[in-house]
Amino acid sequence: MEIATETTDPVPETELIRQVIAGDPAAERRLYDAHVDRVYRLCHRLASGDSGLAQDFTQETFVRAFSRLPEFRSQSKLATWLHSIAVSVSLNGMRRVKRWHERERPIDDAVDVGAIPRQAEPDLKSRLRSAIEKLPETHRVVFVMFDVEGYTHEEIGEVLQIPTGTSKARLSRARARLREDLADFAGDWA
Amino acid sequence: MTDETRMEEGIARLAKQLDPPGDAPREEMWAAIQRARAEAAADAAAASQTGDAPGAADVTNVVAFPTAAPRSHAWLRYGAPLAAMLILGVGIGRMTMDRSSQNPQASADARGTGTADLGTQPEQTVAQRPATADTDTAADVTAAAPDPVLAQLDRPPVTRVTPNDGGPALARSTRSGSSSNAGTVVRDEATRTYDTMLPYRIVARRHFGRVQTLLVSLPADVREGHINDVAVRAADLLVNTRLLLDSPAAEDPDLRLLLGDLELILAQAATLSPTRSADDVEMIQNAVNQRDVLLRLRAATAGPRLAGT
Repeated sequence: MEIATETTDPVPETELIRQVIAGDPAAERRLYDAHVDRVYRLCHRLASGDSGLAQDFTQETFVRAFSRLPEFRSQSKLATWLHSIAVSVSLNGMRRVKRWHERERPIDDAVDVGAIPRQAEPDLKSRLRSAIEKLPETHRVVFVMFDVEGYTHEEIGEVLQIPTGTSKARLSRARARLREDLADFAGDWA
Repeated sequence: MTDETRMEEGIARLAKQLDPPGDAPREEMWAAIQRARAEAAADAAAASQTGDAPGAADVTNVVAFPTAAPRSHAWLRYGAPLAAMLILGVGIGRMTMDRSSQNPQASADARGTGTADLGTQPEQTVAQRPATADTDTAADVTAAAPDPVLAQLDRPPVTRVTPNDGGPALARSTRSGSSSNAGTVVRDEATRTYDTMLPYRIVARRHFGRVQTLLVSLPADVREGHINDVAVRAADLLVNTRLLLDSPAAEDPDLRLLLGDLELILAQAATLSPTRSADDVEMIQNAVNQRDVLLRLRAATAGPRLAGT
């Protein structure tokens, strides 16, 4: 099972990798162009829709990939390897961001100090966003990759280096958690 | 189809519509990637000079999530080669100065022609050199993208002289006894000066970023009880600040002033004690605020967002 790329490069992947390792800048750019869109999409989803973070994570993914390409042993497809790095970079990056945010209090919080709390019901989208955020990291990745970005369980298994069954189990648990969190809106989908 | 399945499908459909990713900003990211790689290459070159080649630990964890190393060790890992490189640089700088002082005429030529060159080549500042595809040398790769700090450090210590305004450039060349091929000599000298300054520019930029991180997280770190860690990091940064003050990076008056302020603040942070940390932190924050240190550091480290930064 292979993860698709955006463009069909006439140069075979192994040859392209060899050229990149040899320092051919045109080959580097071809490799980047072939994979950047899907890597960016994945990073964007894992960064909870933050374009700036997605950009950072994508850049970091390619920086790491170029520096470690000589170690790539072609046991998996290049796309799978790249997406593994993207997931690793994004999850680590989001952990740092979360740690940082835990130290901050938004200025808006100060406005509500002493005020009567608002009872307005958040809409379905914001509830869903928050429910996805609350999912355990391992479940969230699988949900985002399978249900949102359309990866198969085999692809997810290769990228995350987990058995296909584990991927399916995590997806099932993630969906169950989301159903519970959004139970108020169950009628909307009936 | 059960209600559960219908709901799951609805959730998946809605999740796809949440913050949909737009088109990837390919060119912008490509430029940043090239720049980050250039910096990494410069770091590697500097590390190889100090004998700190990247080991196996640096190339692991592509897939697995890296485990956090003790923070003080991480600072030491980067701080030690940094300090060693600075010491080496200061030594080379002093040796060069000694040689120049033994040959005052050559020294005068270099000073005069260096200034004239900056005037005759206003478009070719470091930040604006054409990016080359070959990323083998630190000079080439670092010149690939604009960098406010590099540009600031590139400022000549005297007023720039434009090439076609007659007097000063010509007068300077004449005074220093330059011949008709002075332009070539000037460019060579400026290139040499640029190459010599390059490590200092990179180190200064990195250093300011690290100090900024320390100062921003200082109150929270102290609150969480990481006082010793803060003090160790501040002491490392203080050493580097003092080395930078003795380096050509401090030739720029603004940077010298900033480094001077950082020296005082870091000296306070390096002596933080658990018994009276609240007072110390308040004193440090007052100093930071009064001197607009964070603002100046931000200005010094501002630039396009980099990968991993």
